Amino acid sequence: MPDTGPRTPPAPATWADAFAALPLEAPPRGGWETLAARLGARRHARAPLWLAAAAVALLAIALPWLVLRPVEEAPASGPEVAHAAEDPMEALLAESARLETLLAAARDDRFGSGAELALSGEIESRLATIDAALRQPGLSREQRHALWQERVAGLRTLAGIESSRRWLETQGAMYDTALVLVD
Amino acid sequence: MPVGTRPASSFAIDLPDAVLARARAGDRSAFEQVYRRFERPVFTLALRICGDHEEASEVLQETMLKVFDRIRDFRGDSPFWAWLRQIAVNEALMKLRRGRRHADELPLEDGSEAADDLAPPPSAAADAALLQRALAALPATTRSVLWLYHAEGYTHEEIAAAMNRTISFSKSQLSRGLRRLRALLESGTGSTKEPGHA
Repeated sequence: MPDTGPRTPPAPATWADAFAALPLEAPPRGGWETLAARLGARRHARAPLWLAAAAVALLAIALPWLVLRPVEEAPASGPEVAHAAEDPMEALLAESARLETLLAAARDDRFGSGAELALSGEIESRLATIDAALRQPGLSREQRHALWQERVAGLRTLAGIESSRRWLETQGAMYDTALVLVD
Repeated sequence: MPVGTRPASSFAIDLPDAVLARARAGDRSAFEQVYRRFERPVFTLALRICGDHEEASEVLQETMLKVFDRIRDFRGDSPFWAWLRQIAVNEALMKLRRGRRHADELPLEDGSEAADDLAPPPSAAADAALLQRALAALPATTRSVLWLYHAEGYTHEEIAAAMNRTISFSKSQLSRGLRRLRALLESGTGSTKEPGHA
């Protein structure tokens, strides 16, 4: 007679087996529809190179304190940054983390002009390339330092775009309009 | 992890060449096929790393956007799923960093570790609900190391590179994390916490 009682699953032999036996989690419904809408918006919003160049020019004029400040002169304040100030690499890592936190807090992906999205996308792609380069084994300290400098510069530009957008919003203007004025 | 025993990742899904070719050409229906095949592995990975459904949803969106933005750059040196998984891991870890939760890790100890890393998990690990609760009770960074190592088959070198940390950090988090996970499972509650830690 077959055993019809409750069965306890066999104990996993390894942690990998235990994790692999967990069911996959289901994301919320509508994810593809949201993504398709964002893809469509991006496709229509692709800006030509001259527009991206104009945006950079706007940032250089309007936000020199963000864009033009030398990367090595990152402000150090508070006890946790005291050690970082002694080591340029640590200072860059701290600045990178600070800018990422700032961007995470300031960003609002629900809004954004075509030019802004296009330019941000280009910079984010560049940051991803830098991150990939940083993961390569065998980098010298000088190479890592140069990559982190470039990363911080990219994050500052992104922060500049976000700040510029917020400022323009307070003036009742759009990013695209400001770009046209510059050009 | 002993050499040659890498676990089968949930990402290890073969994508037909025809679908990949159409996606590279910008075909929207091919994009959707890619999304549907990989949405659960990406979401699960993101949830294990971030520990939050909303953040995991954001990671899923950003991962897929980047995949479609860069799919023409995929050269086929590795399987497509591994290429996509690397983007997902990067996005999830970036989300973790933005949330300032890299400090959310178990403190390092003075060397005497790895004694029971190779011991089999307790039988309670067969209880999926209990194991999920225990994983959720771990600090996010520690849980990420455990998941990348044991579920995705990353090496300590790969984890260290992905997290911009040291190899010894990865080893230590794995050892301490497994010890904590074992204690949580054996207590049967899945929610025991050491004092002073998330």
